[in-house]
Amino acid sequence: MSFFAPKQSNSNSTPKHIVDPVLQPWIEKYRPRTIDDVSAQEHTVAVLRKTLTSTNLPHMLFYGPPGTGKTSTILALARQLFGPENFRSRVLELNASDERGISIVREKIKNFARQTPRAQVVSSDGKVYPCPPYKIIILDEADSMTQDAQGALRRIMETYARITRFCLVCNYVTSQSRIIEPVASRCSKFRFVPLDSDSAHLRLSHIAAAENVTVPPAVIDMLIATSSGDLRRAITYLQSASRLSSSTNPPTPITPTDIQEIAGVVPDTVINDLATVLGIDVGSETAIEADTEKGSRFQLIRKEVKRIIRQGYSATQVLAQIHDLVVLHPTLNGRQKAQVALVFAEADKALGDGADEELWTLEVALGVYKAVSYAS
Amino acid sequence: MRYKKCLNLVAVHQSRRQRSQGELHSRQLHQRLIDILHSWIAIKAAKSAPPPAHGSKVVPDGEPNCLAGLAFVFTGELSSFARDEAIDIAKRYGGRVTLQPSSKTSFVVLGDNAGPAKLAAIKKHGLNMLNEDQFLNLIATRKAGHVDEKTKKKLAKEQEAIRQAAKEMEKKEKEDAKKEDKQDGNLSSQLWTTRYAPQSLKDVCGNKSQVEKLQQWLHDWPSSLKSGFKKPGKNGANMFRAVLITGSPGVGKTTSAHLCAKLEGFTPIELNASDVRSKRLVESGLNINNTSLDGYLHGDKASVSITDKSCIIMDEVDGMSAGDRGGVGALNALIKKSMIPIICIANDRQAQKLKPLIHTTFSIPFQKPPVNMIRSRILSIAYKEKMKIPANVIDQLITSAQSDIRQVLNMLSTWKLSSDTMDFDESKSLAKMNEKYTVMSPFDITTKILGPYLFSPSARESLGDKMDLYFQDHSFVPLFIQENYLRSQPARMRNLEGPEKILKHLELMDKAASSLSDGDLVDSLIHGPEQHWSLMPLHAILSTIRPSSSMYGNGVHYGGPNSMAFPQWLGQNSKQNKLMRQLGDIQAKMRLKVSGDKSEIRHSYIPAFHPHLVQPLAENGTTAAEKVIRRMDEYYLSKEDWDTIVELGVGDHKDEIILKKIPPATKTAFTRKYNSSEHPIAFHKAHDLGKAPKKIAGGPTPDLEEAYEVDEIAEELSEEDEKKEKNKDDLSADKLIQAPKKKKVTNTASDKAKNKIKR
Amino acid sequence: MLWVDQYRPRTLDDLHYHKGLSARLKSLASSGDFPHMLFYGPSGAGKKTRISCTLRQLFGPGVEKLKIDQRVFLSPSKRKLEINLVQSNYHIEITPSEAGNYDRVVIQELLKEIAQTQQVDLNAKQKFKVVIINEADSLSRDAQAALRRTMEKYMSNLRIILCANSTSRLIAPIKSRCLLMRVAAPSEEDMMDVLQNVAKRVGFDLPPDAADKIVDDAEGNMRKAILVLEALKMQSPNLNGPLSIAKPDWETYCHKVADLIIGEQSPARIMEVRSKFYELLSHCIPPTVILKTVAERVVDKVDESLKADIMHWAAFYEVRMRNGNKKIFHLEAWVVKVMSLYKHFFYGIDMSDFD
Repeated sequence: MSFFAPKQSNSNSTPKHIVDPVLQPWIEKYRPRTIDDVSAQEHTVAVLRKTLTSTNLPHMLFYGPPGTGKTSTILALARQLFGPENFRSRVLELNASDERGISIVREKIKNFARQTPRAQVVSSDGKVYPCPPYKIIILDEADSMTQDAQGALRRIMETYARITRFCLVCNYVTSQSRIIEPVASRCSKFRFVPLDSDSAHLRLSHIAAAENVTVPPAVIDMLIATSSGDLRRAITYLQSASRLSSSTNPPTPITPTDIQEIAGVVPDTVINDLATVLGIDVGSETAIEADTEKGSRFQLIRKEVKRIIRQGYSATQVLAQIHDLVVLHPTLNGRQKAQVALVFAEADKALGDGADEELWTLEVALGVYKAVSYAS
Repeated sequence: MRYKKCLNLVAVHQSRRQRSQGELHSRQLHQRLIDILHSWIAIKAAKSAPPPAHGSKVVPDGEPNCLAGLAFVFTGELSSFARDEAIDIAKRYGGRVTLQPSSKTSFVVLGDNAGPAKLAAIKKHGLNMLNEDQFLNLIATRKAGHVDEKTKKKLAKEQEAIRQAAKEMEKKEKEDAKKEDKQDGNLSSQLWTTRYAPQSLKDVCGNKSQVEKLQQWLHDWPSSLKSGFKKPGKNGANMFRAVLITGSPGVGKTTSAHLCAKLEGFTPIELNASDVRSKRLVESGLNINNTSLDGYLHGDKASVSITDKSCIIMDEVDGMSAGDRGGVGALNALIKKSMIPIICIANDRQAQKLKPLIHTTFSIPFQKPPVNMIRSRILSIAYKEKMKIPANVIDQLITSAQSDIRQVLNMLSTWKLSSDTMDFDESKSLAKMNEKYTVMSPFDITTKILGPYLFSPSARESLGDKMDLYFQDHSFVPLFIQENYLRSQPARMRNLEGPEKILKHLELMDKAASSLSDGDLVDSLIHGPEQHWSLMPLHAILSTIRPSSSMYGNGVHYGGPNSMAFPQWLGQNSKQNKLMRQLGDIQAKMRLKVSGDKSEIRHSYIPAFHPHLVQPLAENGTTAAEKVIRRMDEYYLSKEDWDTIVELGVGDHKDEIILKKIPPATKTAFTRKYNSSEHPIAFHKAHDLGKAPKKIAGGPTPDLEEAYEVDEIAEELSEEDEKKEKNKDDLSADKLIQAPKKKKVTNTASDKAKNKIKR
Repeated sequence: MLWVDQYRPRTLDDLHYHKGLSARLKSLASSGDFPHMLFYGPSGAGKKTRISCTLRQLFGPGVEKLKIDQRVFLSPSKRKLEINLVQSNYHIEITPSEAGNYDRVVIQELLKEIAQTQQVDLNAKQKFKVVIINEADSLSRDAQAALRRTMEKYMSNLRIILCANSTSRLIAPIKSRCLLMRVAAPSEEDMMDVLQNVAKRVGFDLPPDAADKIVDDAEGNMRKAILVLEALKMQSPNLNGPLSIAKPDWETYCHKVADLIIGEQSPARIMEVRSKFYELLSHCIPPTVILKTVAERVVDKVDESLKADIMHWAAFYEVRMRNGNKKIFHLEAWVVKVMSLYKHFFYGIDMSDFD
């Protein structure tokens, strides 16, 4: 029967699951091969480079915002340590989408941790790898592990320290973070900073050149702006954009607007219109008369919100952009900004819980308006 | 404090208004606000003049029994005692407390906000009224033994009777002891409940007439049997071959039955919940024509020979459950043919299970005996056991045990181990300890929580006590509170008038409603995927106690205009689920033609269908049927779906209204027409095709390989395939294995049963 | 059939508005490098229509031969979960939210199964199959995480098209793996065009006034507009003179509720409103829609200074309805709050410190 016809046999199964290099995500394709390729994390890289020569590695905790190269760094490091042949037997990587309850820690992780590392295989590419006598377990997005699971990790980290090193990767390690203190204290911490625009620029241009896509500098700037230091996002956007542009015949050039659309970013004009209605000075000439009746103002705001929702923009995105606008605004005072921040925080939580977009965008708009008009 | 806050409010308001000057309107508004606030402050001040004197007054140490012979009625809210406390005080000093004032009432203790009905009664009887202080004063000054001659004599007489009874008991005991000396050892090792079980009908407390009826019935049995149960007899009892005694536990049902049977010369054969009483056993065991009863009388009872003078006592009939399937029916059949008297005993006559027995048995309901009837018996027992316990203490015990004699005896026998005397407070705490776990219905709980007393300033219930009410039935109580919290007249707005009252009422409701909303959030955490059961106490507070603390007051009762209602939520929710499912069916069928999801179907299509599917039938009658059916076929809708579409309407499109507009003839013609022709079907339901459902395993197999190590996946997949195949095999294998197993089990069970019977 | 279904565009070229989007989809479909996609936008903007047009572009008319298949899953508590699959030879469409809490398992099972089967039609234009996931924004976090892995794993013979009303509830990794396709609601002119086109195909003249009115009423929902057009045409065949657009039953009912709230503020009235809410809820009107419709109506009728507060509380209780179990509790709390606000305003007491 049509759709669920079982696979005929395995004999004709060409290696189906190997992703065509053309289709391979660029983030995988251009993952740094060595830690020296890692962009903009000079300090961390410098420390890690030493471990390469001494082959002594502590337990590590990588933290920093998404897309700053945490996972790439540890993978690159592992590759450099073990080489491609030994990599499989020496490295275990688990990330958030894998089951990582306490049972997995107790079974899978513990089992892997206590194996004596297999003998080094002579690498085929003729290079010599340090291949130190331990294995590495990478726990990506470790802050999403349950408390219990982390608790179970504590002893494992100590007992098998001789033959196994852990590398935890997470976003935050502040006191409120979900990495429990005993685990955090067993690791040496490495902070990853958001990419500065120069390194991001460099990297993106490099990829563009390698992929043979012509990308004007304005587009790269837009990529960096919309991805806010997250290189992975920037690369993904770039790939989508090039896909779109190359699909037409002849290929259309990529424009900054394309990037905005791909990133789901609300165009500035829309945000500025909304801000104007809310009484925020955005330097546009069509500022609404200050002495307009309050009542009609409510209607105005409501109408504007409805318009935005109809355009299909996501409320979280609108929220984020209005937030940037208000918080960085030159003339609003601290009190107003603080008040607005409260509104934003609440709305963000609500939207995360799946609240109705229109109601909450309106709520944010009204809250901002109230705060902004308070002093004037 | 409050006053200050109000002034602040005015000040804030003033300053705020000053900012937006120039509006005449706002100034007027402002003035009005200040007026209102001032009047409100005045009322506040007046109200708080006598400070709520909770626990401020000390109960004087009066002489014991100083209130003896006096009858009290308490009404209204006392300022420093809760009602229950005041009643306790009166009882402790030997006073009698009644609920309604009557001519026999000596004093009425009057508090605030007394009910008008009671006031009228007080006026009518011209009763003495006391306020709280006078009441306390009375206790402090009145001398004990201030009893008139008549009561004195009465008391003396009672004492004498008690002594007499005790003596008699002792005599009998000795006789018994002599008789059973060799077999049973000494009596003191027996439970009190056995030792003081009634030996004669005289000893049975209360229900005299009922016991007589029972005895009479047994007495007349031979003649009734002879006459074929044709002669009704004095009270119609002789028409029946069985009686059904009902009543709450511990009122002496079983005892009376045994006694009566013995007295009338029958040999009682008792079957109770410890015996298996399934249909088969009742049928075969109690051989229907009673020629041989030894079927069930195996083992130690076998020595009892069955004669015409046997009598069956089926105890705990309402306990025939679970394993005793069909037991009641079989019993009923037995009763219809029985040649010996059958006495059935149950707690609740209304129980659904006993329905079949109602017509075949003569009903003898046992009431809870009144306190004074039990009192004398208990007093004699206490006397005999050489315990010194005053009558009012006994009363307290009996009331708290809800007239359960057995319970009282048990309490006393335990107490005897440590002490020979007991005073009022001790009895109170003992009773509290042995408190019958009364299961209050959600209705009662709601009445109590939302009622005027639980949260009144003088109430002594702790937060824990209030939460206990929630935990009595934590799934229903919150629903009841939500359903009924609007029906009270909140006590908190009692002293307000006019707009303030309305505003206060709205504020209180607002508080209650938002707390209910909080409670629901907690509820979803408790019953959500993570099951935070530890939040239950919080839920108790938010869903039940906080709303009630705002809204408590008069008004939530059975009956009357504000009568308490059963939570609508349950019915509405199941209706919603049902319609949701049906809507899902419609959406699935329409999916081939329509892109919308469920809610879009409901929002846009259902109203749009109305003029196409429903209206023509109402307007054009049968002639439109064909067109309607064609339209339905376009969307693969069936007649059932048509019904659902009609049912989904609200307002003007409500199904009742719509269906009324369509003449019944049209409806039937429409149905007939639809059924007579073939219709396209979008798909077959899976269970119609007999597809085996796939089990969702508890936890899926974790994927542990890395994202970019692609080459390994292929292998792993095929492995998983195999696993799946295996699982399927297992499943079917299981099914096959299980089926015969089940049969076997039932076989052995029936075998066992057979064996039992044979024996 | 109703016009809205009868005159639904079938190919990308037939689509009337968002020409740029259509062109982009067309070029993507023919490029051979077809990514996972996420269509989002308000209800009635034409997401599903665009998806099916894209499918047709990808696979040809064969994709329109649909059939429905029902799968039954047993939850661990032995409850039967019925999942409807709409499928053609080339694609399959699922609505995982039908499985409630078990959506993750259903997604994993189904996708794995689909990924392991080959394209049956050897002449198919594409060697991958397409899985359309409806109501993607109601997927649980777990299901989304599972989907994220699946999207990477089966990229070679499977493409996933997600369809959602908003992207707020989707986790970032999913969003970044998809090409985002925003389908905005059509503008008023766009809608006017479509209406005129439908009228032309049916064969009558649509007076601009009537079209104006319909567009006004539809609030960017194309489906609604066409349904209303047909209803109007039935009601008054020549579409001239003053037209009154009949609101859907539930909307009228919601407005009644709003009027009740403003008319009187008392416990008895709250209970009346409660029973009305129950009526709406049990007849499958989503609580959010009820709250929004009633709130908008109330806001239209009260004094300016109250509007912001009323909307604030509506938003406040709306999110609570999402998190809570019993929607009616929150609806009622909102009603009481509004009544209290209204009455306080009526008596002139400032409520800004009240919460």
